[in-house]
Amino acid sequence: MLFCLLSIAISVPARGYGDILIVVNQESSIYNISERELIDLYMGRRFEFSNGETVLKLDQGKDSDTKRLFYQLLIGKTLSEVTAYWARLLFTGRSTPPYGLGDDASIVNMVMGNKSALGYVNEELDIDVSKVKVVGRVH
Amino acid sequence: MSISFWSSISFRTGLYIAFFAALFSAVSSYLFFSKTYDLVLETSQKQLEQLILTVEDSASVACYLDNKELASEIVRGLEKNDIVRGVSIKSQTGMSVESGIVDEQNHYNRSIDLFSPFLKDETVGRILVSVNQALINENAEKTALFHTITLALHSLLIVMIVIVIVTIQMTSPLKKIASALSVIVPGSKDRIKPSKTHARDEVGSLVNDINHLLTSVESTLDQEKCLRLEIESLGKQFRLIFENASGGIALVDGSGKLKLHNPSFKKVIGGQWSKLLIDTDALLFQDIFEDSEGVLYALSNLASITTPIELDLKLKANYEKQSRWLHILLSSVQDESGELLAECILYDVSARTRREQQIMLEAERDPLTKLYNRRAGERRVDELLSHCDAENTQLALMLIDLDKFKPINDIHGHDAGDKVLVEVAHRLTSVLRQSDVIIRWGGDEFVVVVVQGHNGLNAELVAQNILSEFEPSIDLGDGITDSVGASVGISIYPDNAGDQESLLLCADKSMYAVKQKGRNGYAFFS
Repeated sequence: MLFCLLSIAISVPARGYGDILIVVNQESSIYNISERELIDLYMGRRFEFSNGETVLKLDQGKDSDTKRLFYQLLIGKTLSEVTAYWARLLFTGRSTPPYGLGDDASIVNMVMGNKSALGYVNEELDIDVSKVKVVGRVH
Repeated sequence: MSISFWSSISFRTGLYIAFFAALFSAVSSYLFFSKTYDLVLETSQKQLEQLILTVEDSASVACYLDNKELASEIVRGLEKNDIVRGVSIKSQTGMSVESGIVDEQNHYNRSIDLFSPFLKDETVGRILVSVNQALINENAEKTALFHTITLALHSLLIVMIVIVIVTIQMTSPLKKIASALSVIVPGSKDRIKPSKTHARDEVGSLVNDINHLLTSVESTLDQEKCLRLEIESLGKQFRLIFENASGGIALVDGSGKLKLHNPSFKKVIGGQWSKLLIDTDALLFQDIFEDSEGVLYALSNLASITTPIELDLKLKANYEKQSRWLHILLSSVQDESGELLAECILYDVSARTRREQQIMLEAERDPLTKLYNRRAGERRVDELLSHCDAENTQLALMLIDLDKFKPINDIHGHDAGDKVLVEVAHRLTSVLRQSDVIIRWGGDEFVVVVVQGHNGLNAELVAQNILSEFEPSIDLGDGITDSVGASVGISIYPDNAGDQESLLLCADKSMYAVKQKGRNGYAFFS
């Protein structure tokens, strides 16, 4: 608990129970990603990484507990609030929600297969992340 | 008296209330206006804030994403509000959407910073809403005007209600009282009917007071009426006394003008005088009396008459055969204006006076010759002597003794003697003046007193005249005539003596001298 309180900054990768791990392809030039950059990417403000690399944002399916936990921890909003956010922007045409497919395991597979991909998995599920690169942690 | 609506209490009360209501309305409207204006402005501000709050989230998203479409949509939505004049949304990263007229300087503008929807400490932009000041002003004015009109109508309504209440509560009961009072005749039994609805208020007490007043007026008038009747009956009685008095009653002023008289007055002074004095106004009161100067003197000195004075006055002759005497009781009275008048009560005392004169005549005169008898003669002589003293004049006393009278008496009897005496008296009267005094001194002796006239005494002439009267013979009846002579002794006062007795002695001596000389002559005392 004391540890949890001390490790506020995501930029310092540290293991903790129930954290969300942010993962990219092993070959990606990205090694570290801030929480802010993560929000900007997932909420449609940015369309590429801060170093200019193209990004393919991967989201999980709508029934995923990990997805619910991810948005809760990242922006403090429920999934329906996130859906409403995107609905508001639906007809403006410019910002689009990230692709939502699969569960934690399939996210890992897709990140392994695409150099620009960006995804998240639940640490608690003990998914094998040895074939991908963990660049951040949300807790 | 009818009261016009304009001067009625209800109208004037209404006018005062309307005036003050208008004044208060004006003041309160002014205060209300600024207050309302501020209130409307404040409301507009709140409205604006609420509008901004409504779109804040969307605007944050638009700025966060630099989403111009979303920002435009928000701006358009806001602009649909009347109070919004212009809107601008600017993001930190350069997006700017603006619509309408945005006046940056207006301090009524509302603007808030927009934060990232996800990181509350990150400012992503700013939204600015410019207010439609003209509309707010218009609203404020409209509202204030509405309030003012409402207030005025309110005042008007109150004024009308007050007029109605004043009319019902005051004016109409007062009108009723006034009209009821105007038909009541003071002194009559009529009273104002008290109204049940106003029994306990001022109107009721006014009615009670008026009725009390009417009652007291009635009783006062009743008393006066009684008093008037009393005076009237008293006046009638006095008039009765005045009209039916046996004595003549007259009021005469200081100049002798007749002011008032009763019927008896006319009777007393007689028809001829009353015609001149009353009907034609040609004469004054004093003019009907022989001593008019004396009457006028009394009339012009009324102030000095404190107790009634009694006068016996003779009326002027005026075609009446018998002289008439009036007894007058004269007293002074004062009329209402303070003028002194003579109150005269007159009785005709002619009969009495005549009787008195007759008695006096009988006492003083010799029954046979109707000349003064000796007693009265002596008194008359004394009077004439004192008159001479006063006037410093002379008189002549003549003692006449008849010659040859005794033989007639003896031969022809006493009746013939009496006839001689009566004839002598008659002749003496005819030859002497009215002012001279003839006295039957006794038997066949006469005394004549001749007073000094304007042309001196002329005693000698008178003596000669007397002697000549003895010359014609005297008819003794039964165809018999005879003549007598006279011896006349004369003494002069005050030359021969200082008193009656001595004067008579002197005359007696002279008479004897004549007798001794041969009778039928005269002689002065020497």
